[in-house]
Amino acid sequence: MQYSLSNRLSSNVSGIDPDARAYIAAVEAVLPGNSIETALPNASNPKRIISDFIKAEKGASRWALHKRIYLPIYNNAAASAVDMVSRTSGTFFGGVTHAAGYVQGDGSSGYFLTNGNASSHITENNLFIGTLHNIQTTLIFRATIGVGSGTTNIALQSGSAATVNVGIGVGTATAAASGFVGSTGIISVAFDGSTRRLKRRTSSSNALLASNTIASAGLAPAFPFAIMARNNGLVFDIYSNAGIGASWISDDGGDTQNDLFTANLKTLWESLTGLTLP
Amino acid sequence: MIGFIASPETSAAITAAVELAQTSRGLAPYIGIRGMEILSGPNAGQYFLPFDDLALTTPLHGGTRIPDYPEFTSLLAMLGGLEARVDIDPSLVTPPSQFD
Repeated sequence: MQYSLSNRLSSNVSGIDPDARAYIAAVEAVLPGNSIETALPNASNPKRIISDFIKAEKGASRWALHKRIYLPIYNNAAASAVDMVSRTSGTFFGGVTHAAGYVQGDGSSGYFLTNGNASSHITENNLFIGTLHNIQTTLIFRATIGVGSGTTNIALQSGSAATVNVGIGVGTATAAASGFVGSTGIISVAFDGSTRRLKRRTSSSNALLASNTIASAGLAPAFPFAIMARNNGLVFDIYSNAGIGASWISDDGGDTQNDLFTANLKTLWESLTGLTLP
Repeated sequence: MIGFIASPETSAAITAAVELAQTSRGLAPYIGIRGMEILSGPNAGQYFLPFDDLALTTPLHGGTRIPDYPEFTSLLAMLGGLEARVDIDPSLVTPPSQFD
């Protein structure tokens, strides 16, 4: 009886979500020692933390909105390239530092190419994308996530000064300019086909930085998003040197749902890394 | 920005070989080397392959590093060895940006 109970508990890992289990397996398969606990020494039960994150997304009916969620926190290129949703792998190129809790491009050649074209994930009139920055970029007019083609540009870009920093482009080039924010925190942009909202979540607040109405702009580019740069039709440019701890590509869930997602993501990243969102 | 200058053909061969080194081991191509076209200067038309010392120490699959791959030696030879690396101005490979 005693053996049976303990055996059942250990084999069940106390209800780890199946998508969490699959993601953890994909990450552990490429980590040294195949141990996520070793890779994340500041996390208390990382498998439970990841499972709780996904369960919260599912419980709030947001999980199906997410197309890609990357957590480049493992100080290991192969593990940091794994998408939490599909468990496919993106690819790191150029000068990228892999640190405990984040990756950082060199601002001139380093980027991460996500797996799958933007057009297969989102439409330009229904999107919610963003990046978690724990280190501010020192460069102006650089993208932390972006894809472009022709006159279409979907990106989070730093603004006209390195200290007041993230601008946003969604839509055509002529509709690209919007708000500016300090560049640490979780920076996101959502667009529902008419209203565009740029937000910044920090450790203490979640602020609407800019909101405006722009015209519907058609299809998303048939190229993958880049992180730490922009993929402009397979020509990569405007490289950022911000520290990136997470990024995502999702459908727009509406303002309230999007806020709850970034709060959940903040908890996930901080709990796994032991770092605090600036 | 430190790396190699190579012909378009060599650049493409290096890109393909680095991907093959991973896929042939059943791995996803989680790291890549892609040439950046040199747009101006005496090497215009050639490709720049970023490869600084950080690339040598980046932790990869299972704690390996790029030099741990047996293919590294032959690929490095195609590029003239580590001593053939140059330090170029990033503006030489920066395309004019359509959206700035």
